[in-house]
Amino acid sequence: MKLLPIYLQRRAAISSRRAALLPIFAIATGFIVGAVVLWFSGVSPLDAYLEMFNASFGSAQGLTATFIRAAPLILTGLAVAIALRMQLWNIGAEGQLLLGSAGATFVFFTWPNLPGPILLVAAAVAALIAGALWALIAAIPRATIDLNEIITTLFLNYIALRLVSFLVYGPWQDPGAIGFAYSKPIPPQGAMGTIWGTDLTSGVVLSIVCVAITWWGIERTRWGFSVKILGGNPRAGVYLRLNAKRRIISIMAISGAIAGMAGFIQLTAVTGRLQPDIAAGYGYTGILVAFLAGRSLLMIPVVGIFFSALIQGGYSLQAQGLSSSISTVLQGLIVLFILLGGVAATYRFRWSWTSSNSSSGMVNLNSGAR
Amino acid sequence: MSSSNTGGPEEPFLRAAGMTKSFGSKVVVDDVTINFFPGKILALLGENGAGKSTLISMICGQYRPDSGSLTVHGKTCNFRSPKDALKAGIGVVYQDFRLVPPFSVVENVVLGTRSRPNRRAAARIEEIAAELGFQVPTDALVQDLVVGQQQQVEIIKLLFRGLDILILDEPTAVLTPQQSSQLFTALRAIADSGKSVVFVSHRLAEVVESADHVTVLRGGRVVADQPAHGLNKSDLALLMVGDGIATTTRAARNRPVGHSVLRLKNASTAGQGRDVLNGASLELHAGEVVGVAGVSGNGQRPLADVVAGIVPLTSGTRETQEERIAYIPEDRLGTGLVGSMTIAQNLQMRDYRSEKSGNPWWINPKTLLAQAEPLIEEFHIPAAASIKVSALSGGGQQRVIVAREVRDEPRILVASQPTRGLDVVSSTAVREHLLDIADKQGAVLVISEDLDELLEVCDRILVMVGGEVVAEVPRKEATRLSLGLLMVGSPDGEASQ
Repeated sequence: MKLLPIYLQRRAAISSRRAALLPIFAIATGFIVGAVVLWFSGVSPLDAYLEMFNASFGSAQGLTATFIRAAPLILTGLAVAIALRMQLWNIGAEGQLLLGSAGATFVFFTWPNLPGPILLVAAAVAALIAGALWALIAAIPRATIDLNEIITTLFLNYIALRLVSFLVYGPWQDPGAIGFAYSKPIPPQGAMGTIWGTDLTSGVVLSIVCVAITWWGIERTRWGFSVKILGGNPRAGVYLRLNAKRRIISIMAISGAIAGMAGFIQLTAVTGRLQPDIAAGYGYTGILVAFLAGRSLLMIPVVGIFFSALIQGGYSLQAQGLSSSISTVLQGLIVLFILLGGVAATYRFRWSWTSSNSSSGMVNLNSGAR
Repeated sequence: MSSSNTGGPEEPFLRAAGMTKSFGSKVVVDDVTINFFPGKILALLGENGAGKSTLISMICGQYRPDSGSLTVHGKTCNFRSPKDALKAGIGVVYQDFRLVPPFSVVENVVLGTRSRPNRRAAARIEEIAAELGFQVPTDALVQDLVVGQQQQVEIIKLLFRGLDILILDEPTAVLTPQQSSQLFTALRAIADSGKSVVFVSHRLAEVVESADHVTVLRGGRVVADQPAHGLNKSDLALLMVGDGIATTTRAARNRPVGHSVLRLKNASTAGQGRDVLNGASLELHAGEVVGVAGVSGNGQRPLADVVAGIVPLTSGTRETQEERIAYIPEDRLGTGLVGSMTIAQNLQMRDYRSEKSGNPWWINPKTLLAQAEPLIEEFHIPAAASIKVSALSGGGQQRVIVAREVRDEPRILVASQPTRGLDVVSSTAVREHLLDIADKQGAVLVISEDLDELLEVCDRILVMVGGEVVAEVPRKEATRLSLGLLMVGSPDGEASQ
């Protein structure tokens, strides 16, 4: 009466090596299943994957594009991951990114004649503040009346989108492009510089610096220590008389500020104008980045660059007449296999055709465990 | 009462031979052979970590043994799951009951069988209950029953299925002495009807009084396997803990009792059900160990939280001048520790904010490890400072909490079930630390379900019923019986119900 000759036994704990192998297993399996999808689309999977690799890492141009796109992914991934340290789900990085870019745009349009470095710093600060404030709209009700932050941060994304649309069609509209969804360009001295000799903007460096600072804040400060306690065991927080409300608010503000920083980078390094599609779904992809990086903040840059390459490679397939959505398919598959692998890692699998209630004859119990 | 004729050539219902199970490199059950005979009550005795639970888990199909053979009713069995064991006639009543609270008694009993929750099933349940002297209303919801009744439902569940091997895991842990004796009367009736009854325990008295046969495990091996008749408690204690280990804490000294350090007056807390404070009053003095006895769920947990100052009162007052209040909570990993953090980090969880940690902002991991070293040594924490605390055993975790809470000589120490689940050596160590605090003129409040523990360490014992302190007994006048009667609400030692 058995469907499959498998039965499961729960493991007491997942070894750390097993946990570390999980993302590698998930990525490999994702690509294998993705190959089947490509095959059925009439494309050689090997050629497609080679093309994707070449487009993202194979040339200076591709590499530059990959790293430029990696910056906002690293930051939104970091924003989600840091909130998760307190068991908070910030689904609103998309909206906080939009508000961050709007905040920076406000500085550019209000003081357009400031010298470049001062202007950039002021705009970055404005982006941080705007992102943080937008996150606080969800954080304060979460801290005070326990309103679910998943719902509020998600819905605030749509409000943020409308707000930016209003700005680009209204007060900040480009007079030369009436009807188009973008604002006037930011002043030329507000464009982010490139790293010597390359076309690579400083965004990716800035994002990695943000990861390092955040890691340090969590691992080396008293504030970070209390966040780890509250995130690791909220009841221990009550027992130790820690102020969970204040930590919820501070961690969400930081999370929003980091996402706002991504908005600043997008504005100054990529678009040069405020536009509603400036977030381009990075806020949501950031959730996947945080998820794949697991508990480790320092893995976020690696995963961010990987996802960026995936997206970049996906675009290159369009040249072959394929839909670029193959990269979305791969992203989805990888996350799916992380989930499946996470469950599978907690079980020990056994194969046996003997039916489970056989109680006659000689049975070798030695085959039981280990 | 149990002078049954032993040594007959009767076939056992169940024979487990050479059972062995390791977890990692640790052999938890080592070549254990055990027989369950019909019509007999077998007590499986041993300290925590002796391998009792693992052995039971193998017999009931939860774990698969590394080696060994299991014969039930003459047939060799290889259980893959508890379902297989159930089919072979083996049922277990676990410590945490496996009932569905919003379902009625009948529904719970028939769940998983082919019977329907109809009048016929109810009649059968009433019949079983009557034979055992249980009073269980069949149409009541399980969530409305008291703990003792829920346990009776669990037992009825097994008998309803016609199982003939009943295993009870620490059945008296949640019962008052009176409820326990009622349970053992019922277990005797079950055995007399030809079934095999096994109970796991580490309470020596009930083993001597109620079992026909005793199997003692120590360190995963059988160290004694003999009829209960003629055994006495000190023999068993010696078998259980082995030679040469002190089982009793030093005799309490005559400490001068100092001034009042904390006063609780008519304290009440918010919440539902019976496990809240409902006008409780108490006073703690410097240099005094005060015990709290009571059937679990009568407000002990909120009392500990309130005295420790982490839960606000809805009415009444709490007066204290003391700042240094330490708290050993009942639920170690759930409340007292953060499993995902290291031993060193857990040890610093109270102090990392104070001046002692050095710098007002930063935490240096090296300093953290260095600060942990002397504590690990002094409190015999069995692992390195950089190990995650969730990797420790229950005893090791308790040592981490005790080390953190006791190290600064608190003025008030609240210890809730401080030795629950610990072996004798760890328990003794923990009790020594409690007494040390009192010796240093701290006030200690011990909340425990282990009456022997309270009688051993406390200067006076309070009894809680329904969220109130209903009685106070000086240690010299307290006995297990008098406390047990007070716990079920019969003052003046008069037996009722």
